[in-house]
Amino acid sequence: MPNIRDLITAIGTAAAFGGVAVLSVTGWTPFSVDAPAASTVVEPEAVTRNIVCSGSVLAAVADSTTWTRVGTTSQGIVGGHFVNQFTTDGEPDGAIITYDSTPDAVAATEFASVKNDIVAGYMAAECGDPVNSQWLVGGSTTTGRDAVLTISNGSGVDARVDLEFWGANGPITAPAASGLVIGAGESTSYSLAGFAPAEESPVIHVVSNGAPVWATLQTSTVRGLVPGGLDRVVSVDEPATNVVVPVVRQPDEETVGPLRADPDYSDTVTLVRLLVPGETDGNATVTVTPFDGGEPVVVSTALSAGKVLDIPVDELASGDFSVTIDSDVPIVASTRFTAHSTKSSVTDMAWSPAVPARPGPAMAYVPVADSTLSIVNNGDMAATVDVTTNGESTSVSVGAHSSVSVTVGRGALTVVSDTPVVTGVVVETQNGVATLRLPVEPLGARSVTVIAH
Amino acid sequence: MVSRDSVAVVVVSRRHPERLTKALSSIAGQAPATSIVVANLSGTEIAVPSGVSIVTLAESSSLSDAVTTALDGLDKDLVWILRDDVEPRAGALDALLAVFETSPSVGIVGPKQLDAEFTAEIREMGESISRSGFAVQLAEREMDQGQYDRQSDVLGVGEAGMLVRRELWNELRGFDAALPYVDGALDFCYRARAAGWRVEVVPSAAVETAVSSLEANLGDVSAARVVREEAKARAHRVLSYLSGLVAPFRALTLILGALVRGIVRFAQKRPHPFADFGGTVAGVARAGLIAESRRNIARTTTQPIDRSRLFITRADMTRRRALERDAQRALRESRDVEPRLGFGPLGAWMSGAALLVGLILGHNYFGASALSGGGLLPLSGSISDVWSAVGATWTPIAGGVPSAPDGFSVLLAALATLTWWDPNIAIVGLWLLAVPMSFLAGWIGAGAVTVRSSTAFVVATAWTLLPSLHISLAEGRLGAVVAHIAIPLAVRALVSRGAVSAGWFALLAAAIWVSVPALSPVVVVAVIARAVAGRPAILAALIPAVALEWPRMLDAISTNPLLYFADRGVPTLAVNPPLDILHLWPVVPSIPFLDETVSGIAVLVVVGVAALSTIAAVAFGTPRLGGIAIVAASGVALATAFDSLPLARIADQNVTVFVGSLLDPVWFALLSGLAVLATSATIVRAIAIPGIITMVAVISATAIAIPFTGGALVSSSAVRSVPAYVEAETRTHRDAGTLVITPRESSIVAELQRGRGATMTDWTATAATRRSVAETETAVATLAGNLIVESGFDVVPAAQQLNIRFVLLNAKPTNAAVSAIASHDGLTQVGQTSNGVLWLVDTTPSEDSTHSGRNWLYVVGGFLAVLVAAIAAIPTSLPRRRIDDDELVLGTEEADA
Repeated sequence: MPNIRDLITAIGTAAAFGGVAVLSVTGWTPFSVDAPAASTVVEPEAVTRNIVCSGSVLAAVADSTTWTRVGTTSQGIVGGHFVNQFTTDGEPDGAIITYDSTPDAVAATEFASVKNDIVAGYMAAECGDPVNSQWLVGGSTTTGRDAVLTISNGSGVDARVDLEFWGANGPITAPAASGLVIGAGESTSYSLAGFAPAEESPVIHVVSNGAPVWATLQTSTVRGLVPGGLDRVVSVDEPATNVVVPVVRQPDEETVGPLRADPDYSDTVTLVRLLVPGETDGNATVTVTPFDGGEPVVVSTALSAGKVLDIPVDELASGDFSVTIDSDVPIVASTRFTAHSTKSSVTDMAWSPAVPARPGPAMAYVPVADSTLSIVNNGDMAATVDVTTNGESTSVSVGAHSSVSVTVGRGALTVVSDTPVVTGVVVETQNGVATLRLPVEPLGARSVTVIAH
Repeated sequence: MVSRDSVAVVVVSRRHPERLTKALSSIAGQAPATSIVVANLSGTEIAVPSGVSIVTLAESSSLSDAVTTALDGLDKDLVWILRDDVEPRAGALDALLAVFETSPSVGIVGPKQLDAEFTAEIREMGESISRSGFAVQLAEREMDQGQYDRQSDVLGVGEAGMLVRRELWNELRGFDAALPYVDGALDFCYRARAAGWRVEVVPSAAVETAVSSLEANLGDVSAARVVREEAKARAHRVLSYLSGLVAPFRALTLILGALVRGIVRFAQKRPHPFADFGGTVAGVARAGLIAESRRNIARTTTQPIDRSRLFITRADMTRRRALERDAQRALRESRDVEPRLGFGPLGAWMSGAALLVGLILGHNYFGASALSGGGLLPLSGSISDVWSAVGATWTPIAGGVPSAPDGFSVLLAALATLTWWDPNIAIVGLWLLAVPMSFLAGWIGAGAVTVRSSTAFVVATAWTLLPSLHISLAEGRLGAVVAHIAIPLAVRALVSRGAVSAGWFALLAAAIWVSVPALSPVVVVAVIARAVAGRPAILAALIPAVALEWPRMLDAISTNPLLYFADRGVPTLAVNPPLDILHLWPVVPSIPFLDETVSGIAVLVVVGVAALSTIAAVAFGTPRLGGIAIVAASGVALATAFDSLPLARIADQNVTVFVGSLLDPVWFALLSGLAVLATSATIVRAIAIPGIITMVAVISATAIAIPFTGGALVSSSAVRSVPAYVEAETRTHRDAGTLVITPRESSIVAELQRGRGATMTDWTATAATRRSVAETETAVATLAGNLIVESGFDVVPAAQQLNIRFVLLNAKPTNAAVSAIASHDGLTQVGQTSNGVLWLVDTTPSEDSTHSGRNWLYVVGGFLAVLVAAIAAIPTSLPRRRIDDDELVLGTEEADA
């Protein structure tokens, strides 16, 4: 039998255990401490922000070394003004645009509608902030397909640019692809076929050492003697394991069906282009989700490192879709879709690049009225998105893991969300389709949150 | 010729007049009453038998004066000196006289002195001195077995019963007045020898003395006073016997020797360590008396003394001291009968196994030159840099902020000193050895509640498996690792007795306190509880911890006292999610084949069983465990209270305290309870021991497996955290700054590194818990914010002001910020490094700023406090000489003995 003293100690022990158990269950938190201040918002002084546009629609008409301007582009500008143009082959072209009042509130779109013997179609592409690394996913250099890489240097110093190419069969060793000097204020165009001839699925990495540059890839299609298809491909984001293409517009089967009977039109199929630029093979799941709430189409595929993979996405009903690609290795991705107008009988294609999710504020100039803004929320929380178009602001709620499309008017478009969302605009005209990204202000355009320690 | 009649018997009565009658009656049979003179120094009236004469002297008179006075007018050739506490045995005087009869060269004879109380014990029988002048009793406190009875020729004899030739007494002028209490007789005999006389001890003459000579002369004084008087007498004798030329040097060596002996005694925690030193100094200082003694000696000396024969040889001194130590040890051991937990073969084998497991779990760190990640940063490569952080009032974190010194820097410096040639090796070593060290700590700690090695095995193994250790190792929580190892040891030290355990506890408590300040309330509660439970002196064991932490405490009180409890080291977020505090488990368990909810319930069941076992173990004979458990429960209350407080921050992340350390004390109690109960009966042991260990291992599996699942934040790293180019440059300018900019999604992180980059010691508690953005941080932020965009900001003056020499963009060279930074004037791109893109700023490196402020009061105070505790912790006794039976039960040992 335990003696009485031990028993008392045991009771004391039990009481102590019971006491702390009660404190734990009741969540005894008698103290509180204010969270420490951590970050400083810095407003940089006298910020320089220029966005640049590539310029005219080009084609090599006479020979492959001389560019002919086969279509002029217009620039729609919001919150900014022209400051200069690039010198392209000794002539001014393109545009350098700076902000009017605040560095974060400027956007511009370059667009062109062309219908002649050489090129037919519609293109629209946002003008962007020059950067040092760009991934151009799109185009083709097979027979009748043309791709023009335009690199513009709007800064005051020369840029030394290195190009890397990938194709369906792996990395392409291109001649004279490194050490390209783009002079200050100059814009130079190159035929992609010169670096990657007869390549069905090219991906280009433009790396600039020194001054940042703006690179775009103009793609055009001529089937036999019929031109049909024009777009200007802009850069996707740096490789990531989860990428989202905000919008793909699947054309009506009734309009494109008859076309596809002709084997020349086989490239009107909607496709997803993927590349693992790294060294490791991986697996990816492509989820194509309709905006109208239908069942998503899921495709799983193995990825070979360094080999560009084009996945045709057929068997879709007509309408708008978002494409989400999850991969176990970082990838870059873009999609292509086609439009055909029975009225103008122009067949056009558009490249819709993957876009990172951001809360904004994101801005764009929409060149055509009644365009479609797509908002994709792949997050776990519902997003409240303020969309300002035609000078009016509306609030749109986008549930978790769902997407919404909003019709927007011509001119300035601003999108602000409370959680990161993926946005894109589809512009459709008689002469064809195009997609626009909504660029966000680059880090530090107006204020920088600095965590110093 | 020599007869009883020629003897004058002088009985000096000073302290024991009540014994005088007995003394006189024993003398009566040996000498005629008329030859007896009583010298009364007692200050009281004393009655004497008829015929005995009496002289009264002042109380302050010395024995020698008393004898001389008593002899006045007596016409006797010999003097027999006795005291009131001395009873000569029958025939003593005759035996002494017989020597004079046969040996005319003998001047002094002395009897064998026996203890009046234990008459078979020799109190004194001849004296000598060692080569270095220590007085030595030839036989002291030994059983009289006739072992000294063949001895006769000695250097000196004691005063009690000493028979002296009158002419000698007169010639030498009695005892030296400078030696009134100690060694008077010894010195007298020495001088007699020097004057050509012989001194003999006569074993057949026996007297019984009630007290020693010293006590008889000085009274019953403190032990310290005795030591002091002996040292004083020794100094006096040694210096008197030397020539005046050598004496000053000898005086110095005397003082130095005494000082060294004092320090040794102090380190051995023996009583009154510096009494010897004080006495020596006092003795040396009496230059006048020494000179007088020397003159007196010179006057009478006729021949040198045969030192080799009469002095104690060095070898003999060594032997005597060894015997003395053995006697003391035997005495101590005779008192120390409580059984203790031994280590045994089980402990040795299992420690080996723990070492192996630790090395397997730490395989990622083999060959690492430093560790960083999570709460760890490399230490500086030089030990002096590590120590310079101790007491520093400034830290380069956040561009340089004032900072209160804290004890963690001392802990780091102490750790680093173990591998002084490369401080980081100590941290790598700790990471590799933490598992076996926890096992040893658990084993030793189990000794607080058990003497069974099987119980200790369960406690130690489970303690080693606890996730608080493995999570701490994975997340780089150096403080929590140290605390996990120190807690069981501290418990053991706290429940033990004695100065050594108190010293250990003081050091361990300080280590726990400075490593995990959140545990400091538990330490205080434990100490107070122990003080109340019969060990009040243990309160002093908190002094080192407080001495190491007071500046930080004051600093925290001036902002928010709660901030004091933030974890030490680099603040780090818990990546292994903590479980609901109710489960008492520091991490979400993931038990194979069970989902999270079921795992949580399993943990609750284990906790419940452990709690009930502990209560049962307390009720059935381990009350001490109850005390430990009650104190440890306060840790759980603290864990609840501190759980979600944002005490520290790193970049923009708020960091709370690590719950694992706060739960450690209660887990020690619970594991002890489980182990004690499980091993109490032989029948359950076979199932319970593997059962408990398996249970703890299964719910800890996630944490233990981190090194293999890749969840560890800690990894081996280079000692420097800046590019080699910067390191080369900072060799000449140690304070040159590097602004490290890391772009994020919507913000940038800007960090100003000084010299070779932030080290572990830079992250003081003040820096980790600062509440506001420091002025320098704002300046750094402004510079960084303007740098990463193309702006009109003038970089160079701002960088010059902050003494920034480099800008490092922690991003790929294709990052947009590269060209933005490059667009600013005054920057030269150095190129790409493994850490990012580097620019050299066109600033003049300023001379090293003198931010080497140091709180010397803190440094000295902390050093002294730790030194005293460390000295206390040095074990002064050899290990016990007894066979530790593993399964020893209290009480059987005495039966064996």
